Amino acid sequence: MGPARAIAANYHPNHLDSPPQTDPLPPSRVVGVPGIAECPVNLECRVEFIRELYGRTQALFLRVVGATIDEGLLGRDRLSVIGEFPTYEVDDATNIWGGSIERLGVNGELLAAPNFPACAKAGFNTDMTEWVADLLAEDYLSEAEGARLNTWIRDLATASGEIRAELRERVTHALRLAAWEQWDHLHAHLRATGEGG
Amino acid sequence: MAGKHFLSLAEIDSLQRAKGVMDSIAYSLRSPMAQLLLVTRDAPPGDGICVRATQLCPLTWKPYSQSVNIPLDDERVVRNLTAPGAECVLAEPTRDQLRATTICGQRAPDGICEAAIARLKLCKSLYVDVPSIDDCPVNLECVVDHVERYHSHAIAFTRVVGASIDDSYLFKERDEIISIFPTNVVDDVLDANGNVQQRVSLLRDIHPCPEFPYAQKSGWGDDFDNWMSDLRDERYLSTAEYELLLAWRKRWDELYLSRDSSERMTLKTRLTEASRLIVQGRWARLHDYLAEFA
Repeated sequence: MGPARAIAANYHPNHLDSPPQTDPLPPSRVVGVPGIAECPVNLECRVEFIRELYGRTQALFLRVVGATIDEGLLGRDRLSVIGEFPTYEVDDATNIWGGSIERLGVNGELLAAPNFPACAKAGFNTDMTEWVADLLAEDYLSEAEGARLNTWIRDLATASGEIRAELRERVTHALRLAAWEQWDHLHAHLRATGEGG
Repeated sequence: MAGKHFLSLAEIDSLQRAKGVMDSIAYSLRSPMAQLLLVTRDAPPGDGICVRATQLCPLTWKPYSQSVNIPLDDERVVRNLTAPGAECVLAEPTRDQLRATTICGQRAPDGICEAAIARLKLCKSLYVDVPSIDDCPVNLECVVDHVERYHSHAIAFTRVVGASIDDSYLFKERDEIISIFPTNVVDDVLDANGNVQQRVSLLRDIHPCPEFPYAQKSGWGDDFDNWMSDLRDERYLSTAEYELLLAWRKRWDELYLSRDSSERMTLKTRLTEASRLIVQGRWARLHDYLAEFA
């Protein structure tokens, strides 16, 4: 059992053989507030500013100025780490007194999202024009097809009215076919639409 | 700290990594975050709908509000969120929508809707003028109350004014739902060809936290006095023990600002030790401990 889940277990009646924690909290390196030795990660923060929210809550903007990580975590497989922390608040169950029992979840699966050629080689937070360039570089598009698609994208920025609507449909359809890796349809679309105008 | 790897501010600031190369340190400092699709309407002169994959962070329950973070260089979304009267929809994608989410992680040219490329069907929202995503099980319809520019990002505080949930999810068990959504962004890695690949995770186990007598009957957020009262009512504490603990707590409050008081230090030790024995369920030791002061 990892550190985060073990902390909860220390409070559980089935795990009462754990000795009481009597050591003082360990000092942090950068800030004057101690960390928690049992937690695998401690972020040492300074409050940059505070925003009031709806008159009853404050949002604190914290800058991390130091950190400690359990050395045992550093070489571990990511799947095993996500099974231990962070814990997520899932819901509250109702206890027999009408109060609530907090229930926490931990991650248990690691799924890989589709990547190039379904998106740019660089992944998220890239412009789709970069993706088109990648498709061209890897021969998913011929030079003529790439040029045609880039022309549509360029013209879309300044077009208006029916021409804009037409270009929007062409570009959307081409990118949709690429995103779903329907290469034959994409080639046909670029060829047919290109011939048409 | 023994067995702890320390990072200075300079090292933390240098963690800005190449895409696809997230080492254990960078991963541990960030940890997985719930993924969502942010839908906005293009501010004039724009005329389209923009859908962007980003992450969700809850703010308050009353009113129900969430924050979303957008890189400042995503000018289209920043412009949409900062427009007067801006609204948005926060849609939660499922594990079956990883491709669609990936597509919406890219920025389409102005005027092109990422949802159309991703084959996500938009539908009319009830309370805002921004469409929801029909394929997503949950759509939160929001007004943007505030946008804070913070270093490299814009942080939008959004207030939920309406929501829709797929009927089918209302009858699913909670542990089934968490295996479908939300997807949590874990990291990104490089595949064999050097292409960046995002990895997401889903929750698996649900762990109930310890409850009464190790916490208040009412659950998290209640106070010490009510907890002691609960313990007395259920005979974990005698009336005398209860009154002793409450007297300590009241005296502690009176001395709270007297930092140099030796009595304050003594009370701190006693209240801490008594509380520790309670949360560890060491009842016999607790009674012995309190008897020392009877």
